[in-house]
Amino acid sequence: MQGAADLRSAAMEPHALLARLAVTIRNDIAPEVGDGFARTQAFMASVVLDKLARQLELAADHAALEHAEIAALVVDLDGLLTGADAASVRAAVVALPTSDPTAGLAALVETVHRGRPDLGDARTDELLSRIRTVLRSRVDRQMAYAS
Amino acid sequence: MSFPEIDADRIRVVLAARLGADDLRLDGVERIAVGWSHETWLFDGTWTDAEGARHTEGFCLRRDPGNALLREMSDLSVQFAVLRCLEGTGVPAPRARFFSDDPAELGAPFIVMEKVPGICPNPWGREGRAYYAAAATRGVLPASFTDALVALHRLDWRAAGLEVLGVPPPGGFARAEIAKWRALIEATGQQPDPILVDLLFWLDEHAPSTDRLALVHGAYRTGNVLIHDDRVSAILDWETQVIGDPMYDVAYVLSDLNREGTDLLSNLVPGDDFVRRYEAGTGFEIDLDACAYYQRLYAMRSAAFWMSASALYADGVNTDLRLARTAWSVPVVLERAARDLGY
Repeated sequence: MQGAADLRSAAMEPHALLARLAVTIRNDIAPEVGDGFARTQAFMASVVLDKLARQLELAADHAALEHAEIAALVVDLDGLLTGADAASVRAAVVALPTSDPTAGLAALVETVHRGRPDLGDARTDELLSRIRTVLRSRVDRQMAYAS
Repeated sequence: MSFPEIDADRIRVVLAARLGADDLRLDGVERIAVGWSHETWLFDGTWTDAEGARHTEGFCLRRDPGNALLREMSDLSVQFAVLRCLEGTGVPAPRARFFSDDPAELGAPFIVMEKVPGICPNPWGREGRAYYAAAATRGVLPASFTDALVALHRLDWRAAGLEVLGVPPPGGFARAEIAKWRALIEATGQQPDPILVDLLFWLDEHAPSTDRLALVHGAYRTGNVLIHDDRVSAILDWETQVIGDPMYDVAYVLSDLNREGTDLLSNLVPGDDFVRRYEAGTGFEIDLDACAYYQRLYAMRSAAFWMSASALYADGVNTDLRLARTAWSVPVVLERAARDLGY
């Protein structure tokens, strides 16, 4: 009997299984489908599975990076948010760490834009600039599986 | 909404009643699978009229399945009205014959148009790109493509009766367009990405004010025009037309999103030739600042479009897997938008 160190996990990693399914559908199933529309659907299924596989593979790393960047953003913005005129933005920043990242960042962007009359152009643009750095990193990560 | 299948015989019965032609015969009936919009059928009809004269005519039937892309803004009754208004105007478009929203006829709203001769090569495929590249060297189709847009923008839309589309308030076209597409985003029920939120605010803050209004197609490019004898025989896809700034269409033509691996606009027209011919034909000077703005508006539109498409699949409204794939198109569009906004 093999020792535990010699055994591999019985199941594939979920992302690897999805990627394998995509290959099987693309190479073995889709070409055998006679109807044109159904064949296109089969090929598209393989594309969707490929993207899911890549997204799933990267999900944990991406989540950790996003968490760290949002934490840094909260600290970064804190210094810019003194005064009563920044109260609504401060509230959106405070809510960030416990929010869904997409919803939290969207709410923050909206609050800063809406606050422009109170914050003034210079401070609004400075806040947006800091937030956009995080948004840039996010979308760059998404491009790793979306493009 | 139920959406019953139809066949050639059912179409024949309905069309025979419309034409008053009991002996109507349909030939070459073909259901074509292009686009994610309305179900489309092509066929030829032959019949005898009350005076005994024989007629043969090609038809195109479009039926609204109720679960198509842009279903909120592509009402077939509006398309029918627009096509009727365009008849005899010089804008190449199919002649509309019938519209019905009576479910007793074909189970869903439909329009019947004339079948315009021509082909519509896919500009995103290798064969299509080769077709347009060859046409570009001949020079006839690029000029015709530009002239068709000129005809659209020179149209006296008030005289044609196109006020039915709605006229934006003075200087308010861009904001009206933003509102329309924002509504589509909201209809998806999905949380918009923060870049999209940022883009929407930027668009609102920088909206250009123009009172120059024209009939704007809203998606004028190769792939949305029919070609016959190296000329545009019909402008297709009347789903996003609006009374608005003609630069909105020009921006779409100039966009590098509508060409692949070529400097030719829409894979077809040399940029300098387009600008020269368009400006000479319309008398409008192309406003590059306005075009740059509208290209960002198109980015927002694209994001809204892909969100709407993926929601159709996610919500179980439509089972086409191509729609599921579009969920990943949203970040691709927004990455580009972020660059355009300077980050």
